[in-house]
Amino acid sequence: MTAIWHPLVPVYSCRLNNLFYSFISIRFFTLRRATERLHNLSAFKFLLMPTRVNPVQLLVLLCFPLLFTSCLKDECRNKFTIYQPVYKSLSSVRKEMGFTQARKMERPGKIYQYGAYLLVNELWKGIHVFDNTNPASPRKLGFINILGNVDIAIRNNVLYADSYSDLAVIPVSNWTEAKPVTFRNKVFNDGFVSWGNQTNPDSVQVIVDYVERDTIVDCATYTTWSRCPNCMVADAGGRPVFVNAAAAAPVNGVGGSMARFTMVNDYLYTVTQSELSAFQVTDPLNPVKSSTQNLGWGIETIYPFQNKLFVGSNTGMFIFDLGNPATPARQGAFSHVRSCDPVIADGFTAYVTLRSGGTMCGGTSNQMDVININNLQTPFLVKTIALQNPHGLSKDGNRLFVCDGLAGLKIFDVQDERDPKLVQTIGGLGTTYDVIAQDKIALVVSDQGIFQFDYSNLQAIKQISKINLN
Amino acid sequence: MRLFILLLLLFPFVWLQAQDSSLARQHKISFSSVTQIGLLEGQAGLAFQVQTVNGIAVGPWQLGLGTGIDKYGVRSVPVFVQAQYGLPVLDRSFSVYLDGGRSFTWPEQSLQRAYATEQNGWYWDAGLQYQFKGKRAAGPVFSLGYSGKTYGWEENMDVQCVRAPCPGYHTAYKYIYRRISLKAGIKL
Repeated sequence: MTAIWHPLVPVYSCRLNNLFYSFISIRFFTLRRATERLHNLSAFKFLLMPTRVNPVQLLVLLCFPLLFTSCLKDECRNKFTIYQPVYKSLSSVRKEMGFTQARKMERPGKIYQYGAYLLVNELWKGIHVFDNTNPASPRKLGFINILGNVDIAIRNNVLYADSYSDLAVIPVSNWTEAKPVTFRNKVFNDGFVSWGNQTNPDSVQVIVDYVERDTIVDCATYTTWSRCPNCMVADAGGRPVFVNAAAAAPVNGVGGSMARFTMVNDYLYTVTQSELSAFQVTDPLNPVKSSTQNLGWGIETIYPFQNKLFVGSNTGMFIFDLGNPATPARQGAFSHVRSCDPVIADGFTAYVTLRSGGTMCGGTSNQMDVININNLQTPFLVKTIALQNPHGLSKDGNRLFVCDGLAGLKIFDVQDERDPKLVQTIGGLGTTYDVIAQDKIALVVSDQGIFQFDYSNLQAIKQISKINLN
Repeated sequence: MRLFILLLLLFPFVWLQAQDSSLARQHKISFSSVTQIGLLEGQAGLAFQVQTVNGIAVGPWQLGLGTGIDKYGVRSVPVFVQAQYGLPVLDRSFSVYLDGGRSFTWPEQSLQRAYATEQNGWYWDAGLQYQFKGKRAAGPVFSLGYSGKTYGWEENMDVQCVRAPCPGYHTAYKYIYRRISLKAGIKL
C-alpha cells in the first residue's frame, strides 16, 4: 500500500482515511502532483481491494456533515386571499330582490324543508328553491335573490328571511312571484353596521360582493389579522353551516339544529350572536317585534320543543319557556366547556354537540353530551360520547342522526334515549354540517352538496339523490 | 445548492465507473433488503425516521421500493423508488443512492385542524451508504444523505366580520423541509 502523506494531517494506516485524504491532497497539493496521481492508476489499486474500516472513524466521518445542518433552511409559503368589498345602496339592492332563474350552488348554507319544497340558502345571496316531491330526483325551480341572507323560516306560505340587519317578508304561495313586500329595518344588529345613524335606505351602503386577490407571502410575515382582511372575529363554526329550525306545525317548514330562526305558533323567534328576539306574525305580512333579550355573546342556535326554546351558545344551553310567547322567560341553563354547540331536545333529553375548530367558539372538545332535562330548572349531564367534529343533529323516532364533519353522518340508536348507541356511519360525504331527518328521508348538507337518504329500512339506509355544487 | 450536492455525489461514481470494466460484467440478480432507523436534522430540529427498502441487486446496481415513517416537521409516510450504485472501491462497501417518491402526510393529533385539508407532498433523499462487509453478504449499514420533503394544507371557512356579508376565508400553506439524514440498520 502506498501511504499518502500530507503535512496537514497525521499518517493513517486505515485505507478509508487514505481515500479520504487522497481527495484532500488533490485539493491542497500542487496541481502537477495531483495530476500525476490521477494518471498513475496503480496508486488507486488499493481502492479495489477488500478492506476493513474502523467503525468509530466511520461514524465520525458520517457525522461530520451534521455540523453544517445550520445551513439548511426549511421553507414555508402562505397563500391567502384578500377581499375588497363592493358596495351598493340598500334601496337598489332591495329593488333587485325576488325570484329569478335557477343559478349555480356555490356556498350552500342553511337548508329548509317546506312541504314538498327544499330550500337551500346560498350564503349571503339568497335561496335556491327545489321541488322535492320526488326525493330521488329533486328539481330546480329557481332562485330567490335576497342579498345579505343567511336564515329563513316559513309559515303559511310566508317566508321570513334576514337581509343584512333587516327582516324581509316574502309571500311564496306562488314561487315565481316571490318578492319582498315588507321590511323591518335594523332588527338584527350583530355583525351588521350598515345602517349606522342613517334612516333612509337610499343612504345606506351595503356590501354586495367581493373582489378577490390571491397573495403569497413567507409564513413569517403573516399575522393573525392580516390573513383575514375585513374580519374582526374569525369563524363562526366552519364553512356553509347554519340551518334553520321551525315548529312542527304542518303549515310551517322544518329546519335543522343549527338554525337561528324558528317559528312557534304565531311567533317568529330569532337569535343573533347576542340577542333573542320575538316577532308576532298574527298578521303574516306585517311582523311586529314584541321583545328582545340580551343573552350575552356567543349565541348560535335556537330549537323549539313543546312550548320551550332551547338556545345553544358557546358556553352552554339555555332553556326558555313560552308561557308568554311575546317574551320568552329563561327557565334553566346547562353550562359546558367553551365550544360551538347546536342543540336538539326530545322528551326529557337534550343532545348537544360540542366541536372545536372555530376561533370564535374556542374550545377543544369534540363530543355529544346527553343531558337530562326532566327538571328544566336543573338540567344535568348524563353521558358524553366522543366524536370527531360534530355539527348539526336531528332525531326521528329512536334514531339520532349526527353530522360529524369529515367523519360523515353517524346514526345512533336511542331506544334508551339516555344511552345512544352508534349503529352506522355513512362516510364519503365531504364535511357534513347539518341534517333534517323527517318522514324517513334524511337531508344532509355538506361541502360537497345536498344528500338525501332513505332510512325507511334502518338496516339498509341508502342514498337516493345528491344535489351537486356548481 | 441541490444540484451541486447531486453533482458532488455523482462525480466519484462517474469517474470510478470508467475504471471498473471487470466488475461491470457481473450481472447476477439477487434480492436486496435494507432496513434502517435514523435521525433527520434540519432547521426544525432533530427527528426520528425509520425506513425499509426492498428490491433487486444486479451487479453494482440495486433498485428497490421503499417506505417508512418520517417525523420531521409533520409526520409522514414516504413511499419511494430507490436506485443505488455500489462504488468500485473498498469491495463496494460504499454506494451512492437516490430516493424519490411521494410523502403521504400522517399528522399527529396535535396538528389536526377542523377545517383544514392536509395535502401530500414529495420526498427525496440522496447520499452515501456504507456497508460493513464480513464473510457474509448481509451486514450493518450506515447512510448519510441530503433529504427533503414537501407538505401542505389548505383551510376554507366562513368568517364573521364587522360588516356582513363576510368574505370567505381561504389560505394555503406549502412547506419544504430540508434535512441531513443519518441512518443505521441492516442489509440482507
